Parts: sequence; C-alpha cells; structure tokens
Amino acid sequence: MRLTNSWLFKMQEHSLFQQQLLSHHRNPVGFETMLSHAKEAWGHNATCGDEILMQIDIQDEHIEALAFRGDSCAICRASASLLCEQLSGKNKEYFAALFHALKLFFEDETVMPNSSCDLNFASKAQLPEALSPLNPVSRYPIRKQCALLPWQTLSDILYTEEGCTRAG
Amino acid sequence: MQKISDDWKAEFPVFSKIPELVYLDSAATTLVPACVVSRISDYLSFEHANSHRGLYKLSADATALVDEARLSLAQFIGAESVNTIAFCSCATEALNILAQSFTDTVIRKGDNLIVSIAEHHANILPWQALCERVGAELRFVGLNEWGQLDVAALESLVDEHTRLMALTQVSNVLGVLDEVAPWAALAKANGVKLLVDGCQAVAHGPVDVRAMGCDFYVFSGHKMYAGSGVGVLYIRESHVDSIQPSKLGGGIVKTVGRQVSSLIDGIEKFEAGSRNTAAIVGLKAAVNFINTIGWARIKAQQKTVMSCLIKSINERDYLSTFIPAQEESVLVSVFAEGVHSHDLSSYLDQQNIAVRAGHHCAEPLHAYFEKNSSTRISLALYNNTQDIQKLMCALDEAHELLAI
Repeated sequence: MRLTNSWLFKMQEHSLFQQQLLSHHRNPVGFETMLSHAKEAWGHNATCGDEILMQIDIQDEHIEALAFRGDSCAICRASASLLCEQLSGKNKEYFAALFHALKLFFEDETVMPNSSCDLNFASKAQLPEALSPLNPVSRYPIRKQCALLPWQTLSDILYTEEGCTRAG
Repeated sequence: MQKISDDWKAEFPVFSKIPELVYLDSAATTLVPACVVSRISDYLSFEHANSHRGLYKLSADATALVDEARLSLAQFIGAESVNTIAFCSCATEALNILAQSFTDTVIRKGDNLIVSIAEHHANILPWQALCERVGAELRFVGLNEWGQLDVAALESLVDEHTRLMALTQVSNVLGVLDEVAPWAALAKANGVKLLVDGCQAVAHGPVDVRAMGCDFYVFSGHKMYAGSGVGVLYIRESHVDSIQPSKLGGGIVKTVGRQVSSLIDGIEKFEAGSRNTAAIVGLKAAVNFINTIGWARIKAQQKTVMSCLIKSINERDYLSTFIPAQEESVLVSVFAEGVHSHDLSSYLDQQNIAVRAGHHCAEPLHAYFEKNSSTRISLALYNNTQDIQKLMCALDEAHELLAI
C-alpha cells in the first residue's frame, strides 16, 4: 500500500487506525487457525454487526492455543489477534488479570495492583504494553465494545456454563 | 412567509460552528434550521404554559398554538380533518399506542398481521408483542429486485383472518419510495386496515394520506427538520371513535370516579398527559420551512445530489449496494469490499463525515440479504454535490487503508 503524506498525517496519534493496530488487523494472530480440541463460543455486537467465534484449547488451566474467526471490524480483529498473541502459553489467571486491566482502561477507572501475575501498573488509564495497539480506542467510546468483544467472549467460555461448545 | 436563502445549508446553524461537517445521516435524524430553533426558543421564553388546562391567557394561547399546529399538520399530509392528527413523542410511540390500543375486538386469536421484511424495528416489535398477547400470527412479506414490496407476495399472504398490514413507505436501509396505492387497494378489497410508516418519506416529497388510502400514518418530527420530541399519529376519522386509547391519564377525561372513568371523544383522547408544546410548535415551524422552499425545488435538489452519489458509487468496483440505486431514492446503503462498515464509518468520522454503520434497526432486512451490517448514506436538503465529492474521496482512502 502506498502511503501519501495526507494518509500519514491522518495516522498520527489521534487517529483510531494506527500502524500497530492495522498490522494486527491485516495479519491477525490465530485467525482461522484450526484447533481440534477446543472450547468455543460466538460473540455478537448487536450495534455494529460484529460476529466472532473464539476458540481456546485449555488443559488444566494452561492455555495451549487460541484461535478466532468471523465477520468483524478492524478493532475487533486486532483485539482478538492481540488476545491470541498474548495468551498463548499463559494461564486463566493471566487472562483474567489482562481482561480486568482492559475493562478498567476503557472504563477509565484507577487500576489497583491486585494480582500475583506480573502486570505491574497502578495508574489510571494505562494499558499493559502488550495491548498498547488498543490505546487509541479509548478516544472513541463507541468502539470500545468492539475491542472488548473477543475478551468477553473468551471470558464467557472460561467462566460461564452457557454458550460454550466443544469444537471438532 | 419567512425568507429562506438559496443556500439552504446556511439555514442550519451547525454548519456555522462546524463548517467542515458533511452530514449524511439524516435518515437517523435531520439537522434543525435556525427558524425552527428560534421558534422553539421564543415559545419556551415567552409563551410556555400547559395547553388545554388553564383558563388564563397564557394557557389559552398555548392551546391555540397546538390547535394551529394540528391544522398545519393535517394540511401537510392531506388529512381529511384536524380530528385525525394526534401528537405523540415520536413514530415509535405512535406505533406502540396503536398496537396496544388494538383490543380483542380488532385482533383476535387466530388472526394475522402482515409487515414487510424491510420494516424498522419500531414497526415490528409492537406487532410481535400484540401477536403474542392475543395469539395472532405475524407474517412477513418480501421484496422485489428493486427493493420494493412484492405486491403479488402480499396478496398471497392476505386471507380472511388478516386484520392489519403495517408497511413502510420508504425503507430506512434501501431508500426506495414505494407505491402505497396497490397495498391500499388490496387492503380495502379484503377488509384489512393499512398502516403506513412515513418516517423516511415526509422530508422528501408531498404526502397525501387520503389519496394513499391508508387507515393510519405515522412519522417523527425529527425526520423532517423539527428536532426531537414530537411525532404524528394519523388515524382515519372514521376509525377515531372505535379505537380506545392505551395511553391514559390527564387531559383525556370527561369524568373520573374511583372505579370508573369516561374519556373524551375525538383524536385528542390519544394525547394523555402534558403535551410537548415546544416540540409541537417546532414541528409547525418545520412544516413552514419546507413549504416556503417548496417540494419542486427540494425534489430537484435531491435528484441532483442522488444522481451524483449513484454515479460515484457505480464508478467504484469496491462499492456495492443492496439493490440497484435509483435517482428517486432518498438514501443508499453501501458495502465496501474488504472493509467492515464500522471501520468505514469511523474513518469517515475522522474526516468530519457522518454516516451510519450497522443494521440501522433493520436486522430482519439485513438477514434477508444475508448481510451483517452496511454503511448508510442518507441525504437531506442541506447536502450538495461537494458533500458527495468529499465522501467519495474519504471512501477511497478508507478502502486503500483498511481493506483486507
């Protein structure tokens, strides 16, 4: 893609579609990867039409692999890609802490260090560095639900009895 | 008659504050001209009182303002008398009032109602609830290749148990102005009542409910430059006495006892509670605004801008639409290949271009076309071809940046 100066200007830090986020959108980690032994669930965003199927291969609290597919916007895809990238090889507690941090970031509340996991952040409205491509989304409140959808869907798989099926 | 400049965009104060704004979401809500804003402001500043209640001059004058607005709206939609125009908060409320007012004498278990697959949720949910309440069936009629209601299919759905058709005059997703006359003829031939949703029609051309032959007609003021807070429920005069209102309260009673009350006659029995008189006078001001410009000029402008939009869309392989776009349409919903509608809308927003993304409160219609969402471009009299040029430039950039 050829970038003109006008497009580069528009991709400055106030822009929603920054290079890091676009990179995950164009080459998402875990997109349409086939997992043979996975729990899965669909997530829907009724407002904008996002649909995403999250899959997780988890063995004794240890996350072996993650994947996703569906028709969703760039923010949702990038967020799902970050999720798959960051959580592979981690555990449920790490996911819970990261998801909690993401929700608090979007809710703009003070984050308290309360986890044994090494996510050492204590100030308001800060994301862990690993999720920094989602930083611009906080300036666009209507898009927060797009960023949260993959995480909420995965949370539903891990922590609720409903809507969770086994793939394969 | 008020004076309106030839630059219609200049009549809308928002463009003074945000000159770079390209507003293409008038199907959601139209912007408000200065003349309507000032009329509402003057009313609230100097004329506000509770209408139809007090015996003092301020209240009597407020009552007269409502009566004048009722006449104005009756004339605006070609109603047979003022005794057909009920003010409510919006079209959604009008539809709910009607649906909840239909008692067992109108719709019974085993009866059916017909809506189109193109309806806004406001013209589906109240009927779903009614059908569930009484044990009736809700039937859906599909569309032809041009996005208009399939009249042959409608005819096949009507039987001796059909009591009501509730159909949109213009889909808020497809934008095609449909022909109501065939529906009305079918309804009349079968003893079926016809409700027409005029929300997307009233700002784009003259409405004549008598010529249309409908029994009910609903629309919202904020779809026709009036701002929020008022809608119109037209009930054919011959039906007014036979329908009892579901919304009850003050202002519609003859007598109230501890156990039993009696209601007033006439259309005002559908206006329980204090009216939003500020919004009602604003609606009358919006009617005056439209009448001052005139439908001939409005329709000519619409055709020019829509033609430009259609030509621009057709020149781009990456853009597609639900149906072939037509010059008479009032809006177009598009898909950009490889770009989600939400991303398209967000990118346009960053260029000060306002469009709507999603299913536009028309999920069944999107499912009918097997689409999750679309990007809607809807026009009004403040749009021009420069708006379309800016839109297309931004769409090209968005596609280049975001398409996968």
